[in-house]
Amino acid sequence: MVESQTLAHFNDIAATWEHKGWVHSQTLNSHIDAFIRASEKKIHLHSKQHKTGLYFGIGTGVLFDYLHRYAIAGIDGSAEMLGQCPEGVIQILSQVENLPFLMDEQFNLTFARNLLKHCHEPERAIEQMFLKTKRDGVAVVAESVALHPDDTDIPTQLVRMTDPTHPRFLTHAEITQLFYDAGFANVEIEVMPYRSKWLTKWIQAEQARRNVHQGVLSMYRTAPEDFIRRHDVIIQGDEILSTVPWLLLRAYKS
Amino acid sequence: MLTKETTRHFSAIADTWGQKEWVNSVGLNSQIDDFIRETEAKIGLDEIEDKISLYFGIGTGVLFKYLRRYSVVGIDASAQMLGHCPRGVVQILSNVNDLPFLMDNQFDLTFARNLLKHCFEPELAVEEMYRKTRKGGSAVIAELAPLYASDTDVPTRMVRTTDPSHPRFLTQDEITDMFIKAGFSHVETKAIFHRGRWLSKWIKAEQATPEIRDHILELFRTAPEGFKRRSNVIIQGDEILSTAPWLLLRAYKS
Repeated sequence: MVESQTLAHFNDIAATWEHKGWVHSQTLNSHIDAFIRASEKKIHLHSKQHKTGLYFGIGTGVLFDYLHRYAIAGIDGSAEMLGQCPEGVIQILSQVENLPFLMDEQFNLTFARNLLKHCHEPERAIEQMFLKTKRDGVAVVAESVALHPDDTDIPTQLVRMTDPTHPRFLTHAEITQLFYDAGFANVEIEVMPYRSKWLTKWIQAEQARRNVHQGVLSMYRTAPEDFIRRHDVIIQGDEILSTVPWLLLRAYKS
Repeated sequence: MLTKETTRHFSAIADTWGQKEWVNSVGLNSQIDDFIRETEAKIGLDEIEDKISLYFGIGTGVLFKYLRRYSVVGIDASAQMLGHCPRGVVQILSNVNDLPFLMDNQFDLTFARNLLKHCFEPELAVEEMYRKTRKGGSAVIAELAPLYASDTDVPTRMVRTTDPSHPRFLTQDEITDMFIKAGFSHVETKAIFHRGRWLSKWIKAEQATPEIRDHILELFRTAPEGFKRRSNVIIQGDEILSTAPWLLLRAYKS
């Protein structure tokens, strides 16, 4: 369940949310695109016509550009975010953990990007992905994660500066295990390191104040050495350059 | 809203429902298809690529083949009927007049065929069509509906032989008024006439007993002369040949 405070936060920042550096990153999005297409090939979905896709936490629908070959239903808890979706997305206003109105086992592809970290019970969201995915279909997620449990602390503190109810970040291993627990027959993962200068854009996107900006800089300056090394953190004036691991996961339903 | 009894009835006959004479009638369906395409041309929808459509009471999705240029969401209260839908339809299990999970003002086209006659409060379904249609979009319906109030009696008694809770048939004027009252800025209608031999197929589709068939034959034999003349009823052994008026209606939302 995404907390009501988190939803209120997303409603507040819907107009600026896309300023985040990773949202429109060509590098990241083309990797996600390639990963989805590879998943389709593995289950021969690429040759099928009239495919349906269910996009959990679609937000403003940025990735719809990569999914035009599907009839895409996009779910989000924030009406303001959905309001920014491009033409062609079927907009469903709902929490992702409770979708009794959608028939089970109907979607060729279920998909989410950076959703699970916002869910207090991510296993329930994944359970819905399992329920709504067709037999012989696939669930795909792309999520920024921690590779080491110790590394969840800094990103969690960061996001709680503007969204105090944000759950703890998840590791790639935790997410992978949740997909197995949900009942998927097989899970394949890739980890993609994504390096960027991100703080200024993040501050704009989150409509955060100057003191938040300074707080983030201070937090990264004093972060544990291992975290700084693993993420290759470089602070350049008011900006942070670092490498964030992204998990690309596909889960097959048989 | 369909009654529980009507929903149960549809679920019970989901396997045979498609055998009704009008369901797969090429003549009737191509007129509906033409009417939808004409509507699209009138509002410039034919030039939009990523179109979405909401199909109220989609049933087994027979008309999906005429709507493949859309991403189609199909709503039905019967899971068994939805289970027969072809690939590519996003299936929603719900009553048609209660769709809070679908964002308002989003669909280029809302559509229904032979739905309103099954609804106890058809005006609520029409209001929902209005809410879900986007500004500049259109609602289209095709409904078997008498032209005269006195002609609603025979078809109503007939359908109640297998679905006792079936509401009274609506006239074309009653339906048109509902669309005007719902707030659509402009409504255009066309009456078409569909002639067919239908009783044997209807009995199979409804999984009805020979007693019901005999009852319907008697109902049509003893029907008021005005009804028989206007419907050009001919009884041939165990079969009935007659003409049914259909309303094709488009309603614009501005």
